Amino acid sequence: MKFVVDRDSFTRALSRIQGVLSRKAAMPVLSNVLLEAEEGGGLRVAATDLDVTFDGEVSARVAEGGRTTVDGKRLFDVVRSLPGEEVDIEVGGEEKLVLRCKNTEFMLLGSPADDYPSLPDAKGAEMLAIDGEALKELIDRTRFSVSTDESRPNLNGVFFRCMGEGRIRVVSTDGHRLSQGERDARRDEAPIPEREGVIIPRKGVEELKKLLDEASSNKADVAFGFLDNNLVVEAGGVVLFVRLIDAAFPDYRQVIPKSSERRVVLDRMPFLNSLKRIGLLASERTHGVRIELRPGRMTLLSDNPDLGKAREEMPIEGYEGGELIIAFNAKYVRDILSTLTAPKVEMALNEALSPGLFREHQNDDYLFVVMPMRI
Amino acid sequence: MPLDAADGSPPRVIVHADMDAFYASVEQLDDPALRGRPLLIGGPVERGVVATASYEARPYGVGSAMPMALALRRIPHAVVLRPRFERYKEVSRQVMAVFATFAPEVESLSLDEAFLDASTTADRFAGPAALGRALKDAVRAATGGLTVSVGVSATKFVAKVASDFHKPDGLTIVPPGEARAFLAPLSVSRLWGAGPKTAARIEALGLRTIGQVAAADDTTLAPLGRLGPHFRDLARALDPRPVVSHREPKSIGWERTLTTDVRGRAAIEPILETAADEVARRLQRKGRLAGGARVKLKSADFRITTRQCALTAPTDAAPPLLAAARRLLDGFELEQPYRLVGLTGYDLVPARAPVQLPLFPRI
Repeated sequence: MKFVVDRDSFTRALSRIQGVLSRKAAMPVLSNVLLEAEEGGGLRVAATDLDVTFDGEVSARVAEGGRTTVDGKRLFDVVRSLPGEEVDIEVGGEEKLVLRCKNTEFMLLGSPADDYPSLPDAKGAEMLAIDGEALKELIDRTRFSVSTDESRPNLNGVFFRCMGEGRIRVVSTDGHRLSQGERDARRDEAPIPEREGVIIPRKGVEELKKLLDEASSNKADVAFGFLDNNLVVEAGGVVLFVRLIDAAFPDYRQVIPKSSERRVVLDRMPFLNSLKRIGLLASERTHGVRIELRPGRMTLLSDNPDLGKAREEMPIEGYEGGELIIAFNAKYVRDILSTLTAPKVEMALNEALSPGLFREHQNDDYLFVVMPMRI
Repeated sequence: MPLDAADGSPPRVIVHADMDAFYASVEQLDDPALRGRPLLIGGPVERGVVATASYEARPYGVGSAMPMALALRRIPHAVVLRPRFERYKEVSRQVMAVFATFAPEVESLSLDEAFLDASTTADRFAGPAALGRALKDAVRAATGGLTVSVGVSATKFVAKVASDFHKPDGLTIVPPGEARAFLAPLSVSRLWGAGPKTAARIEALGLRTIGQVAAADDTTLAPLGRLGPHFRDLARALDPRPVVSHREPKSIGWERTLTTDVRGRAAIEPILETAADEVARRLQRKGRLAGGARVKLKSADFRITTRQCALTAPTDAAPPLLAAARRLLDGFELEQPYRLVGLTGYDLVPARAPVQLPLFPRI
């Protein structure tokens, strides 16, 4: 195998796969990146941890085809440190990868590509065009409430469902709070048919986010599809495969309050800042902050037997509902307020022990449910 | 004596009271036929250890923590009894109640041992010796005849060493001005917190007596790290630690040494089930929720392995503790034989602390 590749595009391709490289001792070859060059074609750069797979192509001048694998982290560190613009790469006997760039020469020890697990092939998937910006926003605004509790695998990812009419719904919950977004994600009127929901694991969501961020800054087209038990996303010549979680997502619709007796419209930033301040004296473990509602006035309080107390009053014009004392994990509410962008948000409450609903004022695309704390 | 502190701070009167061969003495108190006979309280003969040996057994070189089988080789005619903890707790409550009449602050270290801060109550007595005698008499009267050894000084460490000085039924007063001299000839193994390994490390520095540690310079002590200055302070009778009435438990656990070793998940899980019930019950009684669970296994060759994890939500209920314990078993090599299984709830929070409610009734 022998080829010449642009250092910067090779560095970008290697950077993209860093999150997928696995250091599990059980299969050392998974810390490697697969390189495959075809005469007259480009350079394939791929990596998998068996759950998440990146498969991309970088343009290269291939003099002699071939394939090999080499430590992906090491190769990334080497390539990005090289002084010139082009890298000359040659794989000789015993999988020795020789990189030459200006006056620098590296030899990296690789291992045979035949030892690398076989990768899924996107050709089998029917790909649908999707509005990458819409998908990116749906992921960005919901991924924070994915559970990290590994004993609950069905919560360890975002629920992704094509609702029909091109609408995509994304939901995540950690069992205490829930985020839901739904948007029309059609691109150029391309239809997205209805489909049963799937769960994309947390790791896959993080890689998907990176790919969508990259596509967003390059204005690249995004398409998605399904292959066996994988979600397939293609953007800018790179294909991402994510093995879906094989579990049932809980019936999230039942915990979303249908109506509310107490509805408050608040300026988002002042509310967020107040929660940050009052939260300073909340218990470090529970982050519990008390909210007291009265007509025209809201009070935030924290009381920590070890530290002291804090209290802040906020006028809430137009609130005519009844009095209510409720406590929330301030971090949960802050996470929501930080992920939103509108100047005004709505907080809808019922009873002290019933879930609270948060959303942007006059925007029904997203809703956030937080279960209160018992005080 | 006025127990003036050497460093100029207000004088303290610290008492360490340690019941003599407590479990054995309670048995001898309850059953007169056992009096005067060597008595071993502890686990079963095959695998247990001696929890307490009566004073009649001690001349044979038998003491706490010795394997029961070895103890019986030394005194084949000893009487062996399984411990009756409920009874010892009952007597312990009587004893602690007596202690509480002598000092506002009583820090119990176990069923049979406590520190008392008598600084504010010492005036009632004609000196610390009178205080000590009154305490011993009160314990004897309240229990119907048990003896306690008492040490009095201005610091916890010296009081503790003093109580052990004339055991059993001892009373040793160490005025602060004499504390250093009192400690000086003693072996470094008497330093509080120095177990056999640490004592050996100190001796390896050429320091055999507490007096030598008191006189050691920083360079000599350097190999001990932070412990060096700590032990030197103790050796110089400097120990400002207060008597603290009750310590908040950091964890609540349950463990059992099994009569036969167990092997494999199917054998261990039923024991964890009992453990989860027991830990939950203790948490509820203490009004605490555990934020984490820890499983401990001791292998047949006495190697201890623990695995722990945070719980989804703090709890005092058995099912989530058991679920966590079952998951933690994945992290153990389960095919080898184990002799002890334990489960502990840690990261305790008061049950009245705000509790995050679950969004889903059941998932």
